[in-house]
Amino acid sequence: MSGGTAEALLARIASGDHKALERFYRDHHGRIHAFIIQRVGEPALAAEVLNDVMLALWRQAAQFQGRSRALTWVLGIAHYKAMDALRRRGRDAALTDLEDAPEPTDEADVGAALAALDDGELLRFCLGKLSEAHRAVVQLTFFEDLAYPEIAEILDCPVGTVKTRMMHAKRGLKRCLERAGAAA
Amino acid sequence: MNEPINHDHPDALLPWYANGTLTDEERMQVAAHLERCEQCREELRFLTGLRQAVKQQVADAPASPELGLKRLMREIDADDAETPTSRPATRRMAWWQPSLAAAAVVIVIQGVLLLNLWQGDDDAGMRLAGETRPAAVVVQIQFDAAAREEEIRALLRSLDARFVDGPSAVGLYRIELSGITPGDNGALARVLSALREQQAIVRHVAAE
Repeated sequence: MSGGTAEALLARIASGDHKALERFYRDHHGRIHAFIIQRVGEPALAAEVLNDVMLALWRQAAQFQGRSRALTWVLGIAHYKAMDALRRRGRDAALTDLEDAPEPTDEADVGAALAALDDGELLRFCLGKLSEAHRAVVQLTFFEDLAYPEIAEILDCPVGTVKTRMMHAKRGLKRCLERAGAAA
Repeated sequence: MNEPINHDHPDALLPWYANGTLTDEERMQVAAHLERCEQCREELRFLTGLRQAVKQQVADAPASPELGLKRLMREIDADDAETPTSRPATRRMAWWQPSLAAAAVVIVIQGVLLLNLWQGDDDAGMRLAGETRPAAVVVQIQFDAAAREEEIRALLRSLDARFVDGPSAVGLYRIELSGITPGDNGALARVLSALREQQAIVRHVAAE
């Protein structure tokens, strides 16, 4: 293993190597920040959470046991810290789990939704309409390109829940893109 | 990870077919279905487009690390300076390094448990390492993962011992043996022997 992999850097961080933490930060902060800002929405809060995550990484690196990829482990910390930050901001409503919500009965026009994807602002709007839990699954799947078992580990939920959230997210996005696209 | 695929439409797996993370078996089953299902091919086109669009969205975020990195390193320096027991591995690597080889299995006792142990002591609570009496007899100890809090507490009290540091990066703690006079190697050897006999509680112990 080279000294620059996330796993190798974590091992060095666990032994108190400041340079390794700096390297890890430079290499991975963008990816972790991207994950966080999609969770919390506000750039200022995202910066706070990123700092909290890196501090936790510094203090807890020795607890990484290598059962998952290092970045999966760190994103799990980021998820927890982001949720904690939202709770402290009194945004519990954003965390409501919608697994038990009734299935939408109206199927969107997939072709119209696909065409609307070209509009970045529209997609941003529609992603923002999703619950935080659903948006997290979309981002981890399509931005991070993670497998569903890894996503389940990060979000600390069963794999079936990941799939259910994705089904809800897809339907919500399609409906939003189709309607907002038609109205534009 | 593998599971039977719905023979009608493999909807639940299509997002991960689109991002290329399914197992070989799952991927082949989905691919076989896609060959004969226009509805799922259209769904896959949407998911592929969504993946590209999501990547573009997040790529818009600013990514300069310098400001955040400076703040982080400043806080870590302050953390090290103000709370020396919070990260013994950083500041005082030397004390646990001799035991590193013996401590191949990291045993972590929950921090809250230890905090309670310290707070529950009738004495002044946990001393910071820098405040430890220089003449104190200190040993390094690693507890068994299955050891219960009351067992650890009873053992320490029986030895007139207290935590003074830890856990280290490898799960070691330092305990001060108040009942032993510094230089009394015979008494220290007896205590170490007694600790090693407590195999259900103590995984490793060594004098400093």
